[in-house]
Amino acid sequence: MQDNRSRDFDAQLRSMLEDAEVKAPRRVWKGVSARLDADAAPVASPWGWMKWAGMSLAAAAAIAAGLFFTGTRHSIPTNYYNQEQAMLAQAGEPAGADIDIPVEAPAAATAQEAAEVAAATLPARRNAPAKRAAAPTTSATESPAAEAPAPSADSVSDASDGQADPSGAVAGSAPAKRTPAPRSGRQTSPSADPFSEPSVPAGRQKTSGFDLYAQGTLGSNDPDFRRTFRGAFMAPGEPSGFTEQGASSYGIPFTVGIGARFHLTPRLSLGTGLDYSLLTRTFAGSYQDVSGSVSHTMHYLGIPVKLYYDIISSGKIDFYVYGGGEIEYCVSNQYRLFSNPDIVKSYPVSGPQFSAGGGLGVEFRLTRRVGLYFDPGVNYYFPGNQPKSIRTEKPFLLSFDAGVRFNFGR
Amino acid sequence: MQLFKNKKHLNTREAEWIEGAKCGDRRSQKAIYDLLSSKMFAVCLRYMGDRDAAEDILQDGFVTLFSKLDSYSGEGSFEGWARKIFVNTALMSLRKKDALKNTEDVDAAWNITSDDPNAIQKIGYNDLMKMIAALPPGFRTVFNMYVIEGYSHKEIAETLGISETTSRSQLQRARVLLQTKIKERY
Repeated sequence: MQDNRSRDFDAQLRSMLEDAEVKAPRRVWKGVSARLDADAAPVASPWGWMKWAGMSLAAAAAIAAGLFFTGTRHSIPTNYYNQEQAMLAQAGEPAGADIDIPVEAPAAATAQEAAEVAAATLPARRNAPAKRAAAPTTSATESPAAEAPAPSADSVSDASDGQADPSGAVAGSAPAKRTPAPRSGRQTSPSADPFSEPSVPAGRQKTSGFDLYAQGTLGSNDPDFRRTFRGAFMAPGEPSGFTEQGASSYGIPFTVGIGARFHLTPRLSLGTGLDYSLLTRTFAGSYQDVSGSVSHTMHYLGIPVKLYYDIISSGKIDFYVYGGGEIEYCVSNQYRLFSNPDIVKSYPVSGPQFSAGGGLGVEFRLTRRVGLYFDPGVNYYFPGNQPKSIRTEKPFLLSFDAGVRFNFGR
Repeated sequence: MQLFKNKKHLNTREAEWIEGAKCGDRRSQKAIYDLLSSKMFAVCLRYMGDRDAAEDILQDGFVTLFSKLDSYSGEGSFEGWARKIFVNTALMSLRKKDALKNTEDVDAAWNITSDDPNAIQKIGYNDLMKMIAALPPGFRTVFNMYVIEGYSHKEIAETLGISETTSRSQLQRARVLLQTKIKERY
């Protein structure tokens, strides 16, 4: 009897409640949507990222090449050609004919050296200096060019007007008394200028200076690189009570750092500093018997050591290769399970993360002391007792460093 | 899509939404949300007895649902499959709050009376929900699981970590308390 009453009572309540509907507030969908967005945060494909990095690199290389060659040409003063024409006019040669380089310019240490520099620097139409250099006046002490005084800025002006002083720089003119030109004179001497460019690139002069840098780095990410370890524990050696129930979505690794680069030789430099890296991922998981979306965040501090070797340097652009390693320590390793309330757990990480890497770099010198650089490269993260991250899942990572260097030695 | 092609309990639209949601398509996910949210919110309210807590469970439940869509084979009712997720989410939350811990056996002498068998029909849904919400969490949970979801006492005992006797007695007490409240009201 009692059972029947209970059954009737239950049935009546069930009929009222079973298919009941209550409109949910809009904010619930907003919350769901936001969490779904967070789970699917990294959306670029690995190929997309590589394509992006490649395009950036190509663009940087194109700009660099353009500036490099532009910079080289600009190192030859325009009035040099005016003077050439003036001299040729004086010698009765047509302006359009092959132009001989006046290697007898007083700024050249020796005629031979001048010839070498000229041959290396100028295009074919100006390849005669070797011929002139082979002339009897090959000794610096004997060369009329070496003994000739440097033309003044005024004489340059005159030369450009077609009234060059023949006693100044024209081959075959009467040698003047030997008066070595002062450095300042070399800089203003039109005939010396093409050769006053150091035979070694400007970058090689950085023998005692150092750079300070501030940089940001983006590592490659592979959102399609999703692996499902249902029920698997988070990472080897990690005392986490969290269990993965779905695939992980990895955030793009991000690093910022500051440091210094010391020039050991004209081409070689050593860089070190302090880096901070942020690694994130999200996954569906559970802690004990609570399930939900889990955000895993790791903060690393690291000390990088890199060797840089300048391949090409000009006044505006440096191309270099670099390689080195880094030791990093995880200073924070936190899991946050979104529930009510959120479950937040942190676990210490023992042991360092070692990595090695290298790449090509280009630095654009914005001013004498400030340069903007881009260092695309590849890093390998050695296996260790680290929490699961994009680094443990995909130890080869493309990276794209960009930053500013402040030079104190140029 | 093909997976659910011949399932009578799923119409074509639902099958498309499920497949789309599996691929992370937000429109499909929203469509599923719109399809289920009102019913599931009622479920959450019944278990939690508190609107804010019910909203949290609804949100958690949908996130879990979308993350576990791959495990829905297409066999059985999609709504029934979804409802289990929301019930489990609510139960986990209650357990985490220790709301189900202090469950005690109650006097078996509590009986349903037959004073006015039609009294229930006089009350509205909102009033009934308020009465259910006012039940102690343990009573409310057992009542919901047994009366509405159709769990057996054995299943309830296993799920909540209580004895079957406790489950029975709590259910009985929940019934009596509800009936008392209904009688007081009408």
